[in-house]
Amino acid sequence: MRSQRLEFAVTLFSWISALVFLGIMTTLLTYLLIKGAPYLTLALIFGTTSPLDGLLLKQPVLNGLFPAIAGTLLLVFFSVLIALPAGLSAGIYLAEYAKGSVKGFFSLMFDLLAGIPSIVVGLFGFSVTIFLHQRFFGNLYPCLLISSVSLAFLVLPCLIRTTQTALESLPLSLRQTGLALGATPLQNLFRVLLPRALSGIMTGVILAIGRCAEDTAVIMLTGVVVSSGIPKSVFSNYEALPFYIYYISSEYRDRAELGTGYGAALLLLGICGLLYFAAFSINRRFKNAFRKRV
Amino acid sequence: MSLRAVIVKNILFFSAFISAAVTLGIFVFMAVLGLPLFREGLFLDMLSQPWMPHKNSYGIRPMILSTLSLSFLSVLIAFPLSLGCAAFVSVISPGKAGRFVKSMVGLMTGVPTVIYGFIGVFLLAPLVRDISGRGSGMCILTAAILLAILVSPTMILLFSSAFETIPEGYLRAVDALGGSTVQKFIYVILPHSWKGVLAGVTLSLGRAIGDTMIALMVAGNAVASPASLFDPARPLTSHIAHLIAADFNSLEFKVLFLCGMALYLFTLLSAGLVNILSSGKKKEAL
Amino acid sequence: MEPSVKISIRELSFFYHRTQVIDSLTCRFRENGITAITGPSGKGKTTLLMTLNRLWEDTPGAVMTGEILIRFKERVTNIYDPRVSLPWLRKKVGMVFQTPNPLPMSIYKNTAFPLMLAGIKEKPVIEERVRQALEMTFLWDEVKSRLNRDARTLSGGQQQRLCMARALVLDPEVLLLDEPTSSLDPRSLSMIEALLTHLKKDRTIIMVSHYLDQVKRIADQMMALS
Repeated sequence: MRSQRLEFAVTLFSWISALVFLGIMTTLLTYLLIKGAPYLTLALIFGTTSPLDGLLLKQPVLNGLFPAIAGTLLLVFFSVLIALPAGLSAGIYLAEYAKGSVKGFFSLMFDLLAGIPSIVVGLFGFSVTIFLHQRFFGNLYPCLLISSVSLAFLVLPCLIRTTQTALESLPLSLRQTGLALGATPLQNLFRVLLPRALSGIMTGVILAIGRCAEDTAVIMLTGVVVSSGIPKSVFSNYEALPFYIYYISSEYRDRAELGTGYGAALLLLGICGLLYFAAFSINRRFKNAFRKRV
Repeated sequence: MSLRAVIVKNILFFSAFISAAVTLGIFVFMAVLGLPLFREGLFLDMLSQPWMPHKNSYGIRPMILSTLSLSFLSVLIAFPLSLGCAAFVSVISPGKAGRFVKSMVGLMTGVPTVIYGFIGVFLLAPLVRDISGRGSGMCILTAAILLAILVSPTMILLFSSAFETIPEGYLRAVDALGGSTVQKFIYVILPHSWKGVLAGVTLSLGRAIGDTMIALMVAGNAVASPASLFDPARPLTSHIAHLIAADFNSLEFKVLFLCGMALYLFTLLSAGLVNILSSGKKKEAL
Repeated sequence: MEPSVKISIRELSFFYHRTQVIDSLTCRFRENGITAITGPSGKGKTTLLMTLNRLWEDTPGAVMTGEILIRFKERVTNIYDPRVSLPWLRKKVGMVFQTPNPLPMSIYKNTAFPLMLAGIKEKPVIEERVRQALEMTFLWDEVKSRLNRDARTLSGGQQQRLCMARALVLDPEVLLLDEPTSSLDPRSLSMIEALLTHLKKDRTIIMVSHYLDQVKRIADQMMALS
């Protein structure tokens, strides 16, 4: 009798937890949709400028999200560009070469890096910039480049880990096939293993892109501003979507401006949702490819 | 090994080395720039005193207290919810319903923090204000609820993967002995996966401690130590965000390195703990 | 169903992902005694065992058709009747696997585990039945001084006898054995064979076995799947 009551209680609790979770999620998304959908127009992005002129940079977009979107895209591009070579190489090293305590040490370091709060990475980026500015480069200020480098540090562990996992989860039979055919370990790595691990690695890249697109703490310390237009070089200030959302939440002047905040939030959520689905489906294809082989 | 293989290996090692060096470099750099604090013997004062710049008191005790109370409270809220959801997803209802919930949980991990903060400001804070009848609704409780929503998807996924590492043979044995699903969960899965659950809690706590945007947007930003759930607070992370505009060479700014180091050390502790927990698991598997 | 028949299988077919492993099998197992199931691998021997305690049902892509009746002491039961509770069925139909699968807990707790699942709380009762089960499998003398040790520290043969004791502690009417001796040393092998010869007097045992000499030694009837 008592065990039946326990049975019922545990089952009920897990159902309630799942329903509460879904409830919270639906509330958040519906709230954002209801408040933000009316503002999702071309005017949200381009303001009073004509979309074509804005896109071709013929005319600056003054009262739309276009510069913020462009800033976020540039930021993602440069951060991943910087982090990718180092992340891939370190991941390959960890999966294929590192052993014993060396591997343990590097693993701990990357776990630690993954856990460091982004504001601390931002503080580091900012302080290094000011330090360099005062001692060596008088005209270096927080800018797109500094933000990209700082964000690259932030996403490095994610790239390293997914590369490592993708390589380590390749079946042993695949590893041995190349070697049995007379390939050197290096040929095996570049001709057989890496191509097969590619979609697993892609998942990591997409997750890294998402992380760069959504991060606010790092960039607010390293060069993002409310209004700058499209950055002219990597040494300029820039705008970004998440920072715009943060800014609006505390500094909005009227209902219409608050509405653009909801619109921007919905836009950012859409971008991150798309990235998540891309990562998810690639990851599933990767896993299925090996399930069929076995 | 051919010359080419040696070169490639060294390039790869160098990348790993640089990445690890960044990790240590962040701490060393902050320690060096914050060095004057240690030299002047201000270190302990800073940790134990309140923040009153006009009286030349730059202590960060209120911020440390805010960070700890906020993060522990949020994990306290998220833990039962996550445990229940993870049990639902991996044990109680692993079929269609479980798969649906799990994919929704995965989707939620991708929601930007700033969006939680934004919704917190305009939806949750007014609600908390109306219920408590005090202040603006920007307080520890509001921030802790949002943080709990922020960390629970990660927590659910970590718990559920801990539950799913149970060797198939154990589950089969319980099935063959006539154990029900709930009995399987309570007598075999939970005792066997507590390390994974603890690691999940630790990682989530680290995430809650390190979050900036929710702390900044909805915790209410008061420099006094919080005394109740409805008090506003300023955790370490938002303290850094607030003071970044201070003069780089001032004492005020140097304190930020202390905040940074404190956050770094929290991270080190949690990464170390997770490392110990997961290495123990590997040994058992062998 | 005649009184001497314990299990009756009618038109049993089984598929894994559309691959047929059992093709409309109809057969009967007599009450008490050992029936050995033999045949080449991949012919559904293990699957046949698992249809008798419905353990296959969690396997993705598995489909079964047909009817299985078991004459339990209370009544004849169609074990796929929706009213049959799985825990109840599995307490009546015990199973021992090819490789020993002790749970990650002590020797004592492993043996007492089914009693706990059944909701038996009285400590003296549990202790008594654990002792009986371990004695029956000739394990009691070997482990009585270290009942609180982790079961996984036992040798392979001891582990398998522990799993046997665990399956017997609830006194099942039917015992399913999936090549229980294939990974054992000769000493444990002869112990388990002796145990089975003793058990078959008042229990229906169905055993998958590859070893023809073993089958000849202890089985009362033989069934070849091909």
